[in-house]
Amino acid sequence: MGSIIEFQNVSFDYINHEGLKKRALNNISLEVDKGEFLAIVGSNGSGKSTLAKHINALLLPAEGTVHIDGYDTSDEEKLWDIRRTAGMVFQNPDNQLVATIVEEDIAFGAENLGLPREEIIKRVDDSLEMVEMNDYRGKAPHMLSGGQKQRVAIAGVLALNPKIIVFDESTAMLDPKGRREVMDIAMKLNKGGKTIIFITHFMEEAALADRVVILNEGEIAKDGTPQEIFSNIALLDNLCLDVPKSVLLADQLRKSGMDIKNVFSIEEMAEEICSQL
Amino acid sequence: MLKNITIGQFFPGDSIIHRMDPRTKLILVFSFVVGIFLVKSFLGYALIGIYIMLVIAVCKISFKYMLKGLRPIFIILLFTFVINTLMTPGETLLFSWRKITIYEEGLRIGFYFAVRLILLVLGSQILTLTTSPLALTDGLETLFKPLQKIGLPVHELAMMMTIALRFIPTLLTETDKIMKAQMSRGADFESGNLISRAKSLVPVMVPLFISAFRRADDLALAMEARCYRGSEGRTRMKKLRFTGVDLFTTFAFLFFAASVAAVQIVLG
Repeated sequence: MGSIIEFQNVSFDYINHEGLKKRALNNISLEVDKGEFLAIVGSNGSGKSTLAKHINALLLPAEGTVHIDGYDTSDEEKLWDIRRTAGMVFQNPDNQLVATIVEEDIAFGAENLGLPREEIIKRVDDSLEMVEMNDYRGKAPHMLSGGQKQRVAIAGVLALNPKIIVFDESTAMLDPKGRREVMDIAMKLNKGGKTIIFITHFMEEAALADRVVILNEGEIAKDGTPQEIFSNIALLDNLCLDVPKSVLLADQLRKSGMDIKNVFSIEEMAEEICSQL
Repeated sequence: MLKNITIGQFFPGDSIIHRMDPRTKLILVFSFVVGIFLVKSFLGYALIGIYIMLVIAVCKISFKYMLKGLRPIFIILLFTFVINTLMTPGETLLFSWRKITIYEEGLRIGFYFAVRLILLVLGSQILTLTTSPLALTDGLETLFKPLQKIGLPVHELAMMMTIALRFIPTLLTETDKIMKAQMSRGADFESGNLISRAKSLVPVMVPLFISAFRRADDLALAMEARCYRGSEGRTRMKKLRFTGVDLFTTFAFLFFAASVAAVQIVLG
């Protein structure tokens, strides 16, 4: 299993309105394996979204190289191959739906690829099935809830049949129910073999990933399993990130003498505590 | 206030009219619009009115809803009627007071124009209410495709239209939200004369425009991320196809047109 995403010494500058350069990514090197579920966390302005946009060549590195499934993102000839390999779900569910009907929106990407009609229809059906939005295929996007819109957006990306799906803070604008729906689909897709890059503010979501990368001021501050990352309360505090509540609880309990492991879901935590009693 | 705008709103359904090919609908509505300007008799308009009601009934769209669409043009309607009535000279004087004179001919022309406007709006509303905006743009795109050869960016225009239609409800909701936000800060949109009312809308328009630009930016990015690169090499999921429904409705339309023409000729 080789890496499907390879960042080598990538740097990127934004030019602000005064014409000054501001470094958004600084010498980032990162490899993601095929089929991995990687969460990227970091405070505002840490470079999370900038990093995400490098994965499907919406941004090109100022220095260093990015390889996606073997393609160099700076190779203009391969631009469309890269974008169909790495799909992207954005933050605002309203601003990424193009068409006025759910199924037509899902077809948009597949139509852009110039696929034959039968194939487009098949992909739309499969994608709707995957995100469980079959009942809404004829509805207008503005009639849907935030979580449903985001599921439609995911289906639209799935219609491109990508190997990688990047969720660029796709849960940030949703209510808890919508967040859970999106997270469940991301995990389901990961089980189905897709490589998932999940950018989020919510540590509870990141804790469900195989691996977590913390970005801070354009650099990788920490790279490890959720277990390693979230056990380090001092590090999280230092980077102004939330500590999952279950970890805080476990920490408190340990201080008062209980032998509690760090677990991240409420159910697991309850079990863990019960087993100690 | 914002809920009254119905133009560009699609009402999904399964009537004959809904199932027509958008190209047929476009051509028929266009002929209809040309046609109503050729009719010059009360009976002719009455007949067209009946046919329009028939079509509305077939579409299963509530008639009240259709009438709501007339509300925004009410002022224009009144204006056209009054101006035409007052300004047309004629022979049969009906009413005269100081400089105001109304002739029978003027009243007739004023009435014709008002009826034409109403029919025009109703006719085009049937089109927009029964055709999904995407089908509509598809229809326009295919109908205008030949103009691509002389450099008209047909696909791009069609895409712009789809997106505009997609964002109408979103921006309306947003306008409502901004207005409420400004009202909670003491903004007053309802009192004062026309100028001060227009001025009071500035604090609504500015945030609305800024957010619309931000949306446009986001959307462009999302479209690029989904491999959008213009019309080149693009296929469509829904293929437009003329069916029996189109044949039937075209014949029905021709029959209606012929009956109106006959009435017109018989009445001289």
